[in-house]
Amino acid sequence: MTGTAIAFLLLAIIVLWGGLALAIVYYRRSGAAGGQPVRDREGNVSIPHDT
Amino acid sequence: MAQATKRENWSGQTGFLLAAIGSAVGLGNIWRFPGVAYENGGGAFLIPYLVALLTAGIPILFLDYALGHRYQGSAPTVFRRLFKGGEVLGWFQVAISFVIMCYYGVILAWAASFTIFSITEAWGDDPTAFFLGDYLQLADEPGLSLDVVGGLLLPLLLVWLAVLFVMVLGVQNGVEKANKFFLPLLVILFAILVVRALFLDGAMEGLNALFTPDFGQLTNTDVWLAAYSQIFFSLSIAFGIMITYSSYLKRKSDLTTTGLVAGFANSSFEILTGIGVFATLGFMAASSGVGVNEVEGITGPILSFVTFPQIISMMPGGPIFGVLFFGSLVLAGFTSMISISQVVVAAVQEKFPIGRAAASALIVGVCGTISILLFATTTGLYTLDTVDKYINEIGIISSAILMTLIVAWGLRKLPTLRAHLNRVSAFQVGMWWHWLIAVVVPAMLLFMLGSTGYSLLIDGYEGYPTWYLNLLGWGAVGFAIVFAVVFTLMPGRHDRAALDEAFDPDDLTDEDELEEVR
Repeated sequence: MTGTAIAFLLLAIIVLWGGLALAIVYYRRSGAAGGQPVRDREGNVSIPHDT
Repeated sequence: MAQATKRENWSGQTGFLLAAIGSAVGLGNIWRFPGVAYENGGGAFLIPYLVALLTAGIPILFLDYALGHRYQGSAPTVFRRLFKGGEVLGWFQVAISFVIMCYYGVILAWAASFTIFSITEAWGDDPTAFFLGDYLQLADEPGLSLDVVGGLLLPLLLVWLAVLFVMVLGVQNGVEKANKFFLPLLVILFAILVVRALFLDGAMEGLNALFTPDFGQLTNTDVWLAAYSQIFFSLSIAFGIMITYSSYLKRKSDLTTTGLVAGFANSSFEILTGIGVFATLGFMAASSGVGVNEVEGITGPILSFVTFPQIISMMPGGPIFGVLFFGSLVLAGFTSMISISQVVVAAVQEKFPIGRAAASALIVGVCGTISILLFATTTGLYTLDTVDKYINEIGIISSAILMTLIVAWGLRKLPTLRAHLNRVSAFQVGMWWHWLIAVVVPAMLLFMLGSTGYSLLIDGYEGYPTWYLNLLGWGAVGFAIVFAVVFTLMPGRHDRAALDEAFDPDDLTDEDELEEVR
């Protein structure tokens, strides 16, 4: 494989699978996957938004 | 008011998420994306593809989720509650699902048959002659034959029985459990296939062909059109599926975060299929002593049922590879098939005083009969190809244009829907969503519709006779319109008006016992 092709393969993996990983983290932190959203010591939800 | 059966729900949000991904990940991910990406700039295609995902795919997914979740019903119920006369748009979406359901079952039957054929490499030395001749007994010319191909009946019957079984079990016990089992299994099977493909001779040449960017293509409007089409057709949006699925979510459910996961999961799987398919095509090219650019049949049914069998015959351990590939096709197709079926079953069940089992049996019976008479005959492949082209590229696109224009400009409901999304979701949607749904998406879709419609009117399709395209292509779209009008006008359950009047879309109380209907 050429360097350019490898770069674009990595780009695809990083952007799309990275996007998926980020979305899953967001999904879990929001409490959507079950349980409560992650809160700080004061009980606030900083990221993501508290619903 | 009479207390009716409680409306069905997903057991939790993850059940909905898996079902939404299962619906989006279908045959198009495996046999369409790799070829489209290769033919439209290779690595450079990723740029328009990502732009299309972020500016059209995910925004429309959010719109579908917001409509279904806020107005709690199948597409006709949602649009009826949204505006007077809206039911016809909902039934148009149901009609599209009904048509797709009829031929999708046939493709699943082919994939199921080829899973078995893989074990013995039943296609022998000539997969083309086997698929088109021995298996489909394809006529020389497009037409309307009633000569049913006997070999297709048993797999088709099994497919429809499996669909019926899942539909009868309902949302939680049928659709959700099927997705919870089949989707992880699909990912495992396909991951094994990709790993195997990467170790084949010539695999790197295949990936080289797929990912080497041709930046010159980025100025080609057809490439951008291809990217928007791929995203649009791949995500199962704008024909009732996501509206119906999101209506089964509990009132306090995160919509946008779930949409982001579903959108990116679908695209991630497409990249995986691109790697698997092109690594395999690279092996074929190397074994045949030609370049990857000289390999033919890299998209659609020909990729799956002609090119892949050729490759399977060439490689060591081919039967195992074949079972993995065709098994993946069956699983990907089946999870999409049940989502399409759910659109029709839910709509019929909500309109008429009929139970789930009876509605499922009726719809599967009618669709099964149509699938045999139209698509399991010696002219079935021509019919399927034509109906698929027109119902997707004219029917679904028209449905999406109507939906976005009516919601954004006719009813000016985007602020209400955005407030609804933000009220229940962790990921907050800004004004950018308004602009995308009101301007960018309709503009892109109108361009797609104009371009495809003009091409179909002037050039026809695949050289098929004009009468044939008019009857089965435009006829399929016409059928969807007539179906929508007839089902809208048909008298339904007597309690619908009262239920609609009592329904408060702003009420997010999770009082399941009060959510009557059905």
